[in-house]
Amino acid sequence: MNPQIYHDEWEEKIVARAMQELNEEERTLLDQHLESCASCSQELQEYNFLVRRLHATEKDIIVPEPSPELMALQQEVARSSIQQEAQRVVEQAFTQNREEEPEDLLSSRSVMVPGSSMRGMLHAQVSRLNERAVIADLQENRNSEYWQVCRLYIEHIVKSDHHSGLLEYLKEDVVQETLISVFTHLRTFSYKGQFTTWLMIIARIRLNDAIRRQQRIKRHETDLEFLLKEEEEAKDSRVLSNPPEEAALINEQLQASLEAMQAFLWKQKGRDRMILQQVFFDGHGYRQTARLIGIPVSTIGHTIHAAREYVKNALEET
Amino acid sequence: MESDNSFEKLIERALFDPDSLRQLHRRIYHFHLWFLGDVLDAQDTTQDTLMTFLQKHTEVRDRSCLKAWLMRVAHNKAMDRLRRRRPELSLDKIESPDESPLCEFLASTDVYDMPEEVLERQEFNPLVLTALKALPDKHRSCLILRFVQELSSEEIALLHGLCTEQVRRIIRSAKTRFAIAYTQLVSEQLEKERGQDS
Repeated sequence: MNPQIYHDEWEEKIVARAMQELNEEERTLLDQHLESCASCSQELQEYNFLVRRLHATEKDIIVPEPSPELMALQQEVARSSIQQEAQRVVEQAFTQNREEEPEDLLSSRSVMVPGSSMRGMLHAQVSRLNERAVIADLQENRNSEYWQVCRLYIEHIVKSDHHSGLLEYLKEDVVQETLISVFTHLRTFSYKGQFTTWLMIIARIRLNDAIRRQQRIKRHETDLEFLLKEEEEAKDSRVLSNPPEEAALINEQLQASLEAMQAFLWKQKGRDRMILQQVFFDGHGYRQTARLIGIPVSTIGHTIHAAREYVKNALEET
Repeated sequence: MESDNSFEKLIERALFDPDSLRQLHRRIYHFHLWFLGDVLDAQDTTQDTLMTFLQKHTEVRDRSCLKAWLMRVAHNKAMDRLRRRRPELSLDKIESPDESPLCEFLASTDVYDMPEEVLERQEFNPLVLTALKALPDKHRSCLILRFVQELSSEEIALLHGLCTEQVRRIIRSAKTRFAIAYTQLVSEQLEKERGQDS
């Protein structure tokens, strides 16, 4: 071997050149040095020889497949880590929300957005697990574990909305509707933004729809109650102003009405019969009845109106 | 070969993506095969390394260190395996290898004097692994990490607890030692062939 004077400052560049790691500019600079330095040229030849030998041998290596145990362990680790993370994220988010002070209905839209820490954590989790792979799995596999994570995340967004006054059973509907929307539109996800943000936007749209629906029903209910109250007051004032003979007549009419109502009741089936029973015989209000049966107050109004029409006709006939 | 950045991404993806795990398995297997020079040992240590990786990756708080941690695990597993074996052909015992009588003798004739077409004959490829086995562990490890795993000198320094300059010196020395061992093995092989011919 010839005695060589090493140029330490070029050593790393020479190795990089042998590894084809230099850019055009660096290569030109090194070539200029090599033209005037025999020892560095020799050094490069030696590294080239080494790299050629290693790469030639590398091609001959047959790599075995990873063992089934290893692949099974990977699946298990991936599954458990995502479940743990989702559980932790949801628990932490709910703990945070319990500590929050309730706000009025008008500010509900702002509090519907989950805590940034939760989004960050879930996003970090999804990023770590490669967003594209997660979405591909969601698209291909209806039973994917990731659907459970999406459900937990959507549930968190919807259920952390404590301030809009949305009824709990309606929140369940919102979660289902959001999941269906996500499933339907998953192929249109463009990867321009974060997947978690996309999920949150859909959940918020569905949540706002549900809140609007509920508010509309509430307005109808209030209008109906107001009308009914007015009618009751007018009836009471009529009764109080009537002399005794007129009161007896009214009693007779009331008795006839009651009988007509009973006859009408027996003709009804299922839900309508239950409504009439709750309102006329058990003395429940419209709103209370609507909640008990789980239907809108307007439906109660329609049924009662039909019953009154029947009684009115029956009284006119007698 | 992938860049360092994509190697890091590959490690992250390998936690849940089977194809990425296969690619990572390939890289770690290469490291172990080059380092240990034995297929069965390489299979075992690769399996152990990746099992440890999957089971304990959560202990690595700083995810940017995951690559360094994985390579450290791979290196330690290989060293454990080596300790269980009896050394076969090693220059470990030589304290100043570049000044040893063997090296002086070999240095007296230029190892690169042998024609390239002879040195680079395909049937001599298995001798590369044998020549690597003749290097001291640290030299072999640095050489493989730099030229096969494509880690930078700084990353190798971090992995071995050395300074970058030491790593460069080791690589330079390892390159010469490899050339000496390989040329010697080729010469022996050629002599055998000549003996068979005659």
